[in-house]
Amino acid sequence: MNTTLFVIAVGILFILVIILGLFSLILVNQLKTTKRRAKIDAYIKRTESDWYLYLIEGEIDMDVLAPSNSVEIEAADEVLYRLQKNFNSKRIHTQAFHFIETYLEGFYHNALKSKKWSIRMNTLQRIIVFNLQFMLNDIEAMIRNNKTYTKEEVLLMYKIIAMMKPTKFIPYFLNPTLPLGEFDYRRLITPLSEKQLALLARQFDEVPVVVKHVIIDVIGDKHYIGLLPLLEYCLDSEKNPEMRIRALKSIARIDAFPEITKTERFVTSPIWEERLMAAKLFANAPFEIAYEKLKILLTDPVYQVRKQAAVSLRTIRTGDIALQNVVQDSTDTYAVEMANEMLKGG
Amino acid sequence: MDISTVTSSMFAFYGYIILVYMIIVLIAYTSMLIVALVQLKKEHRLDKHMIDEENIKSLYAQPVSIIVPAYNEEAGIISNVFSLLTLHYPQYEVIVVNDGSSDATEAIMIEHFQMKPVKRTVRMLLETEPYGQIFQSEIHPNLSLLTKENGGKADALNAGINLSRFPYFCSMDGDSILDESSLIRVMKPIIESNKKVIATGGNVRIANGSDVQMGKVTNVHLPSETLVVMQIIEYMRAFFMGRIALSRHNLVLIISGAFSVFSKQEVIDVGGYSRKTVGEDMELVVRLHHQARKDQHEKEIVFTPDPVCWTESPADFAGLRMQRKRWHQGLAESLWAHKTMLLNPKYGSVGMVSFPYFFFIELLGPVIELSGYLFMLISIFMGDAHLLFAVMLGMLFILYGSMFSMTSVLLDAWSQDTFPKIQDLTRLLILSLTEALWYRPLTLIWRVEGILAAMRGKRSWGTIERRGLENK
Repeated sequence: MNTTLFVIAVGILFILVIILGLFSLILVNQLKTTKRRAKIDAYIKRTESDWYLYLIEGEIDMDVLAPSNSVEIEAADEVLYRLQKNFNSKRIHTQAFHFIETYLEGFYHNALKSKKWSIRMNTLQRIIVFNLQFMLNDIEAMIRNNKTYTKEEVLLMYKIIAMMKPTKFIPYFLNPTLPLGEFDYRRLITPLSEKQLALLARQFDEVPVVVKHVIIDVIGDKHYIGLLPLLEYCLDSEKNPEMRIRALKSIARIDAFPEITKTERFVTSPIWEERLMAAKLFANAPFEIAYEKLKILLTDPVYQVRKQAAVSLRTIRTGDIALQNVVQDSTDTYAVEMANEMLKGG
Repeated sequence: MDISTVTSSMFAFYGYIILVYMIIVLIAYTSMLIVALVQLKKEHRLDKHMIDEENIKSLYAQPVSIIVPAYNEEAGIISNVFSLLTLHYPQYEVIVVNDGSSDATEAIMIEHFQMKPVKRTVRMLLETEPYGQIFQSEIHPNLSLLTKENGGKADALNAGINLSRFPYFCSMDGDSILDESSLIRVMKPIIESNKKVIATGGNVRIANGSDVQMGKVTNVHLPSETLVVMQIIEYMRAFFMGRIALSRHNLVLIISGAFSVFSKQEVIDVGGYSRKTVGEDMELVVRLHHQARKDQHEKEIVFTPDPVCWTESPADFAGLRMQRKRWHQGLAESLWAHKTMLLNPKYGSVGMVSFPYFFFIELLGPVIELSGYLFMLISIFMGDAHLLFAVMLGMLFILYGSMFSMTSVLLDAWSQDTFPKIQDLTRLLILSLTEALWYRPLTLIWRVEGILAAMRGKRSWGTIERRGLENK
């Protein structure tokens, strides 16, 4: 029994040592963090008027703010980031960029090579925010080397390439070093300009389905009306109903309305999501066409389609009158119920 | 061999069982602490605001329906709704479900938010008690109020699901408030997982004593009531040590009902919230896991420590007892309803790791721990060899009860910096040390009461006094 108790006692002591060790580790880290934070805050407070004079008034030279140690470098980085984020000013950006080029370039080069993931991530974000062209070679080197980076890092690197090499980003997007899902492509493609998206769209038939879907969505989200022909092209896709649905949605978002021959067949589609999107789209159609088609969709067996048809009817010219006509003339219970609901503010 | 020898041997044997059990639990918690520490260290210096901005700009945030079941929440409902109306999120709606309140919850909502009755067709995807009127705010078009006959929190949530328009819903308590970035952060795992994550839970913190203006926590203070401070410590421990580590490996069986997001279709597919338990939030999560494993779908349920929900905790013993009793009863009922998952390889790591952990450690732990306290007291009186047992047990309880809590407090200070003032941190650390002496034994008794209530099939939420979080 004594041996057993002894063993148990040793076990307890061992666990106690581990926990005390963890406790001490956290305590030391906490004290270091607090001390560093206090120094950074003190520096920012001491120099805030100088920063104002340099960045906004241009009355002092940046040498006055030259950082002399790692705390001041970190503080300068923080000040510049906060100002860049909160002020949309070309002057601030130019002044900030000069300062960064002169005093912080080495800091960012080293930070990108840090072993800490959080530091690398912050640096990648800074590169985007400040548009640090001098970091492009580092980014390309990172992509080329065999080191394993997390998906979040890879996405930021590709974003930077697209930003700094606006016509050369496509191979990176289409041959990623990690498998990318729809949301990942969404993060990459959403920031692209219309010209860049048009470049990507030229290879539409070759890109993976997930990329196709995202391209279609982003055209609608960003109202790239110049790419409407691509959306109309997608309406004819026979094999991919998802593509057709998204194309309809994006066309509706751009407030466009293609030729009736391309869209009227969706009113009687066997796929309810297509009928739903058609109900959205017909809100943009000329009144006579809209009224005729939306009246049909008001009798749809699927609730969401009826609801959307009623919402769309309400938005067209004399939509309330159109809804009242439905209430008076229609023999379909669903249609009457939905029209009533819409008229009563539902 | 005489009876006293036999009794003494049995007593000693039971002592060994308790000792071994406690050591296993300590090893489990130490492992979870290490996992949490590694995860938090990785993200320690990450600029999360940059990531929030990026997620918002990506225009891909899924629209969310925030459902707030409200029963007699006149004290805190305005704060709650104000906090929801100022969320930094592209598209969402807020549905307050007045679950047959007997106080002025409905009248306050209608007056404050200029709500007018509307006719809206509601699809009864889930069965609920009958509905009354639906109101919509004239000044905040994305705010609705649904009145209905009292049916309990689960019923109110199901009613909100029926009315909701969006593919995800966020369940929130009527006495809680969110930070403006809370919704984008709790949705982040869902958005980034390409819909593999079907539910997420956020971090719940206690707002008692803090400054709250117009639904926003403007300054965080440690409350004066020691009982509330002990709960703060407890929350830190539970969230930082338990949920971070479990979430890392898709082993989360509890996400807080005070603040969690679910895929609406997944919840409808499993039948919505259950009205047969007082722990409807945890029962739903277990059921989702159960179904996902049965269907062999790779779905995940995770916890994220960043998004914060501020809640009001009970400030007196009676209220706290009622709450802890109910939580433990809910845990017992939820686990018992899905007992076929226990140590069943068909359910993968949830059946073989998570479920046993919740069953043997979280659920039955209070029984064994409480008997350990009793054993320790008896051993002290019996003296001699039993004294050594008593000392070892005492050390274990301090380790288990106090050391872990102190470490969690420090972990919070380092990663979240909730209470930056040194005097607050000191007070938290000192009170953590006392936890094993009084607070923990009390909560153990209440939790055992919860198990007994579950066994008797007694179902009641009870009433906890609400003061509201808003500064008067």
